[in-house]
Amino acid sequence: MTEPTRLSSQIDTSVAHSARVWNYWLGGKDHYPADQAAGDAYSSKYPNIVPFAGESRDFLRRTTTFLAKEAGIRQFIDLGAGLPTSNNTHEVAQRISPDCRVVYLDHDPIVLLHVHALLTSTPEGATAYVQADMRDTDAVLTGGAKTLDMTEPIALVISDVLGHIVDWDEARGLVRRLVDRLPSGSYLSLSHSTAADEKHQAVQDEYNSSGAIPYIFREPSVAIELFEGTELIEPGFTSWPRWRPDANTGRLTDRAGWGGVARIS
Amino acid sequence: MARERSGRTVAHLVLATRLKILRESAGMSRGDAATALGAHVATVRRIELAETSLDEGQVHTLLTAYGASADEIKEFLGQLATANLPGWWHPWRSVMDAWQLDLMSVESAARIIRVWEPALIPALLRTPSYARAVDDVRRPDLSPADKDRRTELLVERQKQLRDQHTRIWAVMSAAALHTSVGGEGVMAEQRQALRAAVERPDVTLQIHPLEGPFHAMIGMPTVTLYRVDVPEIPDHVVREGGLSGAAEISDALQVVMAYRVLLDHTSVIAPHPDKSKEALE
Repeated sequence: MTEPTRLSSQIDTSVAHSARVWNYWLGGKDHYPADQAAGDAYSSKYPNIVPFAGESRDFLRRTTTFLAKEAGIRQFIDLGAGLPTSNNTHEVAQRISPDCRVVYLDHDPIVLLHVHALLTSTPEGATAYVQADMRDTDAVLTGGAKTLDMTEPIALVISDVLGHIVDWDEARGLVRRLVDRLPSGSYLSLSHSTAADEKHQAVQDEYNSSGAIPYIFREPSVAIELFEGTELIEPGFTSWPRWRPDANTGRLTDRAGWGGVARIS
Repeated sequence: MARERSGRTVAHLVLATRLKILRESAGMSRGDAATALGAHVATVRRIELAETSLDEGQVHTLLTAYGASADEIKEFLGQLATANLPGWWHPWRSVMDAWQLDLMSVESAARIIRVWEPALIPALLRTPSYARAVDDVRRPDLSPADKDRRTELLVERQKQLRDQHTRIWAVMSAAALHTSVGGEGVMAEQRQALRAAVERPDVTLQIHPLEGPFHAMIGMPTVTLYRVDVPEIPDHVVREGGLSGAAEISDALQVVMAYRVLLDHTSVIAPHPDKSKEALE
């Protein structure tokens, strides 16, 4: 049976929610008035946020392509999946190999129901949806184990969500705990936003004080520590458009987002 | 009111947009696509903006260049063939409700259809005999022959949506399972059909129990939200409940958004889709 009191408190639609604000910036249709207002307030002061959101998704597309095509990965855990847009992780992976299995994890029940309704797998592969807090390592791995073979290589995808873990040691600790428990040959695909300039930082500070779940920027020199104990593959931890760009990669000169893919041995 | 669009326009736009997404997903530029096609880059641009009709040969060449599988290409070309047959529902025009006629082009291109159904089985999940039994009671204004035609159309719509992989996400009240429509035989068959439906990947069904907590849609008539995967086409909401199949349609952003908030709240309060199977036992 559902627990209405607990659930109602989880779905306050009167304040902006990052998954829906991102959906708005990405041109999606799954956002509410509060998200639109917050998204507009942000982009009116920092217009580059819209192309940045697109770059973040494009980094996810390219890294997923790399993992499925070149690294031969067939199992993915997408941490903090967010609302479905185009080129979702399993769509990209299953286009390369239809037998790919993808577990989407999010803590937000609305996000997960949307993922459940929309993101269906190829017959050869599988998709699953797990509601859990990404800090709960056991819940992430138990959830993954229902769909994935945890003894075979897995790509752990952490697409620009660690900024929501305000405490740095906690953010680093959660990546470390997961990486330590993945089998050899697995991969970590991780991206993190950073402040492009003072103006960007100021607009983000304003957003963070609006009542929305805050997102903390981290300097690339700090964020790279999230890859501790792994082997970064070329070109390392770099700004999104510089990571193996292809014909569709944006060419922004600002560096608001960084990411990398690393092998876990 | 829904904007008047021909069937071809919406379906064509959806396919054109999908071509663009598939190209981007393959990491190719419009120039790359033009090279594959042996055409000018402006041609690719026009194709992706649905400014020119989609030629089967060109589509095949592009999809191949984008690395699409044989199955994907076959499915796409199947949809292209349907898109080139505007108004497949025209033979049933005379028995369709006005709102339905307005929305058929959107429905025929929808990526997802979300439904709140307060008292009956959602139309898109009804068996022919259940649907006919509903019309028998609700539509005394229609002749038996017209009701037969409407049932036929519903079967066609369900088939069409299934073929085009439209996702159906419905929240229904368990009241429907306690209301005998058409008698025991019809209900038994309908339950069986629902049990089969919840196994389908393209169906997400939530059944809210009679003793369940209050949620945002309780007290509202049937509400359906249509989503087409093209930025230029807004979501459409239909609120039924008028006499003789009358309904209000809106594609105004604020109205659609308000309904989406309510539908989202409802779907979180209602039992998870994984629980539907046991609710149907």
